[in-house]
Amino acid sequence: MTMYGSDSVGFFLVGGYELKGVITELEGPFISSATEDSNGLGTQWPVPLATGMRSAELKQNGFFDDATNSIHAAMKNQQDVQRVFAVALHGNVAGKLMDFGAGGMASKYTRVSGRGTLHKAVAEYRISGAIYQDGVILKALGSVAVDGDTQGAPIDNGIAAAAVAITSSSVANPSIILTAVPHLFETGDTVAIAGHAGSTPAINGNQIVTKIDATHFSIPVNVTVGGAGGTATRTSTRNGAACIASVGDLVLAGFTNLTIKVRDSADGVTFADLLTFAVVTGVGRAAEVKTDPGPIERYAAAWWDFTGAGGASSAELMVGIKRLEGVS
Amino acid sequence: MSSKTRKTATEPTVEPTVEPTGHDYVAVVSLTNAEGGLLAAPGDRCDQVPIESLGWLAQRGRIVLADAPPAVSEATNESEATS
Repeated sequence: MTMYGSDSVGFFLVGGYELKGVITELEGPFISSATEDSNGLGTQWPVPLATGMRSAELKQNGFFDDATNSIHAAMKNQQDVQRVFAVALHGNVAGKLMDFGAGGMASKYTRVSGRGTLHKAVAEYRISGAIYQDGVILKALGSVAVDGDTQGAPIDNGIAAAAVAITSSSVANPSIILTAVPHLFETGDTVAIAGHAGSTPAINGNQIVTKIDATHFSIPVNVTVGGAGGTATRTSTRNGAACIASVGDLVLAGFTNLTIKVRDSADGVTFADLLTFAVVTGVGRAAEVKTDPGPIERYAAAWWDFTGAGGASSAELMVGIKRLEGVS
Repeated sequence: MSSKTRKTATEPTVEPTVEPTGHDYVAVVSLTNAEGGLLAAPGDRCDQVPIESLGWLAQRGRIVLADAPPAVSEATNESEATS
């Protein structure tokens, strides 16, 4: 069991504002499922059934602070507006888990003053959008001064899928792979084939499968000499991903904007754009959650670019991803 | 004795399989290497893309054969909210 203390809290971002330093307590997100009693007349006890609707709430207690970009600036006049939040309870380190979400945040914000105490700020949020729990930090919250990316240390999706033994590859285009046991792959999955011998051309490497049946799938390779043996392991994830980018202090210093992307790669060698966030022009703080239908390849990384030309630019940036399905 | 030249069936000619190279592909999205170096911008030929990456990139539609109909860039991702 791993225990966490208050020093483990990496960040609490609301709409691009980092509020961790003035918060003393953070509860949530509480995710609750709406239910409706399904029983009719004549029954003694209610029989609640889930309606399929869920909602989330967050509560925070902390110090009142009206410094620039602190909690008062973040919360005043912000009721019933679209907000993006992210909370990292396991530390502000790439690869660590975090929760994030976006949507209408009906917030209650109160300043509490009392005798002999510092003024407090109390906020509660009721979030109408989806909450993504156990997302992963791609780019830890921190300042960047120049264009960059995290592709040198991408986040592996942590595949835990079992390798499936391959019996043979057929002479065909596309080649049909026979597996020794049910493979559980679906059409569109990326699999890493390793140790397959004798085929022309070699089929080892990343291939995208088309499911035929429980023990057959095809790969888009024109095999002229069949092979045998080896394994296939699924490396991509299905059902897409939700990604978050949060930009705090931003100095463009003549640059046109800041462009942020999430990129993925099947092999960790070549990375391709997965999604691009709306460009940040420096007008106010910015945070955005975007989704991609997937599949998402094994490695994910953040990428950012100060567009145009300028002087001493900087941005307080955090990027994360939540794969909407793990590897089974 | 006359000698006859025996006719032999013509052996079928096996055309060697020519695997497409990076030059045969055009990038649909921006492609970079692990060090962040640009390999191909959208519309560029993929000469600099490592050959081992061509397969999955082509199968995912992130690169297309140069003579293929122009692909629509991945614009399927959606923004949920900004603030």
